[in-house]
Amino acid sequence: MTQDSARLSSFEEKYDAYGSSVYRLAMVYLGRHADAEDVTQEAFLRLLTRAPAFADGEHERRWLLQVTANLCRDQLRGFWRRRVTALEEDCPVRSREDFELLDAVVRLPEKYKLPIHLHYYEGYSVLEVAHILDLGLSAVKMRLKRGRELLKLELEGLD
Amino acid sequence: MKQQDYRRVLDGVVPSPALKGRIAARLEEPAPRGRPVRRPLAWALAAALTLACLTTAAVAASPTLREAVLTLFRVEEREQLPQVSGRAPAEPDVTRAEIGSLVKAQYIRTDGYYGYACGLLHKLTWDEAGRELLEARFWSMEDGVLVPAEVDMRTTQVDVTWKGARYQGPLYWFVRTGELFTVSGENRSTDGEEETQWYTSDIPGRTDAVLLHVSRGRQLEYQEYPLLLRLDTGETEDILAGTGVENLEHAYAFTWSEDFQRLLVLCGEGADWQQTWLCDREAGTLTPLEELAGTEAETAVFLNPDTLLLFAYIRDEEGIYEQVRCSTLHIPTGQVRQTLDWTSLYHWWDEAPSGAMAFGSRCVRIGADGQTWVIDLGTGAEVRLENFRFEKGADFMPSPAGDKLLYYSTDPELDGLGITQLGVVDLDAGTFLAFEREGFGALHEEGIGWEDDHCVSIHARDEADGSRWRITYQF
Repeated sequence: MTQDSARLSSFEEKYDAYGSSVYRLAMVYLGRHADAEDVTQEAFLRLLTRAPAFADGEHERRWLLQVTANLCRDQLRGFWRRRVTALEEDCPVRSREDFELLDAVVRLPEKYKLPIHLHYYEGYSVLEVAHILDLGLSAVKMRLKRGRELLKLELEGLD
Repeated sequence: MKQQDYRRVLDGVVPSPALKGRIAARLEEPAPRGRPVRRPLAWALAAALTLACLTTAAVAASPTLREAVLTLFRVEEREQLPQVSGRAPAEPDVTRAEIGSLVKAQYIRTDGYYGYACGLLHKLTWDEAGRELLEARFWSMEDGVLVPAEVDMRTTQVDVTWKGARYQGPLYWFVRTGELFTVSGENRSTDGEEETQWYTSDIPGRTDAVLLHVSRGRQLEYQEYPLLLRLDTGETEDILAGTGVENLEHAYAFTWSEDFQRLLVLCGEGADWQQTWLCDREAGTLTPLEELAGTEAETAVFLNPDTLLLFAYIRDEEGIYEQVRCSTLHIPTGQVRQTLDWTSLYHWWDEAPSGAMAFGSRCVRIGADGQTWVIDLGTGAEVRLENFRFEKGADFMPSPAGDKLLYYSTDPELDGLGITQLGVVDLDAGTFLAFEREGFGALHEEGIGWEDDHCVSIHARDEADGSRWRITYQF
């Protein structure tokens, strides 16, 4: 196997494993399909060109989500965008109800939606969310609580 | 909202099947040779350039900061937003107020989105495809009342071919009191192999022509090229022909000097290659920025037609900008002068953010204790904002001319912006005025910005009755 084909094969394996998670996180953060794909592309290019050595697959996944969150933050630095984030109207969801649910998440202030998504969708513990987002434990707990209140999220006893 | 619903909806949010192939194709591309590795984030650069463009045109006119200390004057009276409910009016409705006899506020309530340009409020109605303008209504403000205004709306048909793609569609425009108003509808086409699009931008001081930007590709493959479009005839002119700009690959953003003789061209193809070129139309030269300014300069804006403001950055291992350094470059002599030494950049997402926010020729530096300085990046002169402590959630925004800074703070508990405090730093007049706000909780405030050099506006919607609000302030 040549170096190039090994690299491609490695990418395909990693993309199949983490691609959707990276894209979903970017969509929740940015609300725009094209922007989320851009961030996904950039995150994977970094994974394949600049990533450190990983202890295991979970370590790699967390690193990717961390890079994705940082890329999203950087993109939202763009002038009005970070203040007016909303889901684009042609977002591919099944129903108006689904659109409104996703829109509610996208419209959450940045500091709440990432902890909410990582904890309640990706299933990371509070400690793991704190590590990924480089926050203190109490900050993550406070943000989860406030984010839940804003979303009126009904839990299944996972908290 | 139930957690299982959240999961179900998010389960359905997946990237397009083509994305994997696109990334794989990028991996197979050979790395550019002999090109410096530049900023890793095309969009961050584009955002920075957008800010630069917003301020560049008038940077030359920005006054040198005159005072070392500028004291905040807090208006004692709080703004009380009108408490109006019920169905939105069919015609825009306006009420006025004065805040502490120092700030004039206008509250315009409408039944949908209304724009503002050339001193007129407007409502545009488009056909289903969003291309043809069906109706355009305008109102002017006279003695506190909105009065329907007549304009001489013209249409110019755009029809031009660039790199094999054809760009067509109507451009609507009129001139009123020396100002040019232009608007166009949906100009995107996905008929060919690539997505194509066009848009126009104003040329300072001209009402007979605009720049027509034709583009192809999307996101990281996006590239565009500017042409001069004469409004009366629809004829286009390739004003960069022969300069070499027409042959640059992946050019995607252009910043013009105030006299329109020079321009900065930003080229890039995503993560690993960005390059800025300086084009001198009169001399017919095209030079990479690093040849003029050394390899450290990553971006630049025009301070005046003969002077560039250069920005160099230090990034962390993930590519996030950590520090910035600024210098001026006098183009005719090549003389470089540092105006800001390495300074940490402000990251709004930090728990206790501090550092520099750079926009155009100005920089706001926040100290660890919230003390704040405004720095003229052209001269390095600093002004301390006295009687003021910056707090997390607040922000600054330069006026189009760059001589004023909008200051606002937000309520993090609200879904919308929730602007709790609003003020303007007038660097020319040496004043800083701010007031507190009340009664905004019922509105979802979506955006804040400068309408022009004298007017700040907030856009909001009332989720209870669907009406929209445009609130303007004159300090």
